[in-house]
Amino acid sequence: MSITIHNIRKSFGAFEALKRVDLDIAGGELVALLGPSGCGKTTLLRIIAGLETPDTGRILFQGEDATDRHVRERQVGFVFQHYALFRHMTVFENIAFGLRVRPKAQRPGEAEIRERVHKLLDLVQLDWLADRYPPQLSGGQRQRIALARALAVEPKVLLLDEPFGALDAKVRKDLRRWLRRLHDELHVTSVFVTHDQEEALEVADRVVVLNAGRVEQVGTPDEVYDHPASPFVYAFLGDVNLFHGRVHDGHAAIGDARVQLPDSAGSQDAAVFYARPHEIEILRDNPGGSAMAATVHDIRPLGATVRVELDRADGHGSVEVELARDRFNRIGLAVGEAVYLEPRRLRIFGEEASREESAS
Amino acid sequence: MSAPPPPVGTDAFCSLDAGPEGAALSLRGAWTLANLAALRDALARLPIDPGAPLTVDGAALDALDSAGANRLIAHLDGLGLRFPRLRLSGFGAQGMALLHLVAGRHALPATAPLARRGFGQAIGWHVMRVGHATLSILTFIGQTGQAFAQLLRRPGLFRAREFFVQLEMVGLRAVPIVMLMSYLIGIVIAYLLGLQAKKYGANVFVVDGVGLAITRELAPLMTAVIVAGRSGAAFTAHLGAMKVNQEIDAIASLGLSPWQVLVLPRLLALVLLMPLLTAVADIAGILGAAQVASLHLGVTPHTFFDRLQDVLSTDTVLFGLMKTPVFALAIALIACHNGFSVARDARSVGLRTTATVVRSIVAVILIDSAFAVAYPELM
Repeated sequence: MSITIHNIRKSFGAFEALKRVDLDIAGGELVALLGPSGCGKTTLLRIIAGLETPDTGRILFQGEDATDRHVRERQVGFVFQHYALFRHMTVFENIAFGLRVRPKAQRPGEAEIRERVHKLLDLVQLDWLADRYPPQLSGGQRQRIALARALAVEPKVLLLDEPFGALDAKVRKDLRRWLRRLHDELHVTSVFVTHDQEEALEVADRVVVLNAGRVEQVGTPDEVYDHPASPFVYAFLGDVNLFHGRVHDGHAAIGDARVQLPDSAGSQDAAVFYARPHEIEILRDNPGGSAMAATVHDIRPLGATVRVELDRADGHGSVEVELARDRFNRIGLAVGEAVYLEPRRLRIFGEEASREESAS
Repeated sequence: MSAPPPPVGTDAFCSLDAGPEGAALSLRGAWTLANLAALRDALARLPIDPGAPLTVDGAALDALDSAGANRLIAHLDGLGLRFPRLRLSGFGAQGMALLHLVAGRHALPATAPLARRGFGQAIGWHVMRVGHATLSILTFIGQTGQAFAQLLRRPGLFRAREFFVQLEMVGLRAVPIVMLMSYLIGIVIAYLLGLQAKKYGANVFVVDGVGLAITRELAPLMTAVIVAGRSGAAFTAHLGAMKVNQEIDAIASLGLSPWQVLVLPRLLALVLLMPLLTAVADIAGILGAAQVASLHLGVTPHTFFDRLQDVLSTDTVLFGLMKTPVFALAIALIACHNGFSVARDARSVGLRTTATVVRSIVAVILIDSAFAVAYPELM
């Protein structure tokens, strides 16, 4: 089922949670709503579910207006961040709940309920937990049960509100891969909210980046990562180094350093350049005279990569560089050493945009 | 830029110089919490031109903490100087991180300050608050009524299991405490009346007073107070915890009405059981009174119950029992409404539970006085 979100606004008192949001979600898609806390992503999800009513705007399900439809009639499955399992019911009863409480005419027979619940428990790979109570389960297990409960009513749309937010890093990684596989099996239109860019990029077909109640960018994970529409998206999707400088004849002038810009002509007196830590090269010498001088300030090994923090020689702040461990071993850096930095790739956004970025 | 000759402002903590790329502000000394007042004054004295770019140099700093960084950024922010027109140099990695963090916080939209309200404003504010609260409870009553009407049309919606669970919780488990309280109240009242009656040798008339007081007022009222404290508080706490845990949203998203699942079973159980609990309280109270009468007033149980049969009319007992479903309705509505109004934090559950107990007791007493006034009309 496709979802169309048209011109949605929502305020809580004086706080504007959503300012004119438009979005199209195709049937069978897995979409991530990504943004920092307070950007309105959960509010948007709750509006899609019908748990919250928008101030203006419309929600269409499969082209049909569902704005005034009650959450009960929208046929959505909702998975909550803190599971929201019914504590006084067994796992089995939790999943069966949505079926048991249907009016008699639509209620499946006891045998069918039993079969469906066990099928769902198989699907979430927790059949052996049917008789336990939610407090006896681990967080990851609870969240899978919550997902099974949401799927039991055969929803047309599955909505997940930070489903892995309360889990530890390892379980989270396993679960999000599992969610992806599950989605590939079921193909139910799914929207999930997250503030974890890695999660969004890994799991979703498309990512919707929200900021301060507005949609900043919509695109596939590759699109938003490689072609961020704004400094906000760029900074939100990974670590960032900022350089202040000028653009001159297609070169970036940062202090003494000059870096060739691939697709920029003209000049600009004040510009902000962005580079990811892994897009900067550390050099021993400075053959072209175009690199920035810096001293190594700190070295932190992070498993497969090493993060090096350097202070710029011209005193304009510090730079973070991430490099593969074998490359790091080959260079053989030590704290206090003088080296040169050469950004392989720099990105500029317009002056206005960058000002907004620092204001957000 | 035509700048005045340098230096234009110096201080123990900072100096402002005109440079080739706009003004340069050099910081010195310890920009820490201990020097906060001096820093504020130093910054206030600087003639910074908000229209031109500014470079802040931290190379000569001895120390910088979040208070100092906040002071600096707040001052510059107040002048309208932000990135990228504001440049930072010589701060080192930690200093840069701190300043960026602080600047990020400053750029967030400010929450409205907690303004002191004047007298007139305070009145207006309270009126609005009462208005909102009234609207909210009226809406809740309306929704409950709607759910009830729906239940009457489709009895299949009735959640029998929840209803019976509540019958046990509200009714069966409340019996011992209700009996004990009422028994003690019976003793107290019999003593009190007995002391007066003894003076005139009218011991046997204690029965009249005790019978009337307990069945018409005390048993219903005491039962309602106990139920408000016990079941009312439990309703709010339970529904509130479910709300915090988003279980109520979960019920709605599974295609159910929280009113059918949660509110109506509780409300109906309470309305059904309140008269029964009151009847139990009537009996316990009278037993207590009879005991005092036989031990201290020389009225034998036989005489006591004979007299009671003569003087206590069925109307009085019925009147006492008749009020109680109304009490129950008020308690259940207040308790469930409070449970549903819990905000999404645990503290709110406690506040709402307290509010439930206070409001339901007030409501019960208000309803009771209305009944007392209406008694001649009703009987």
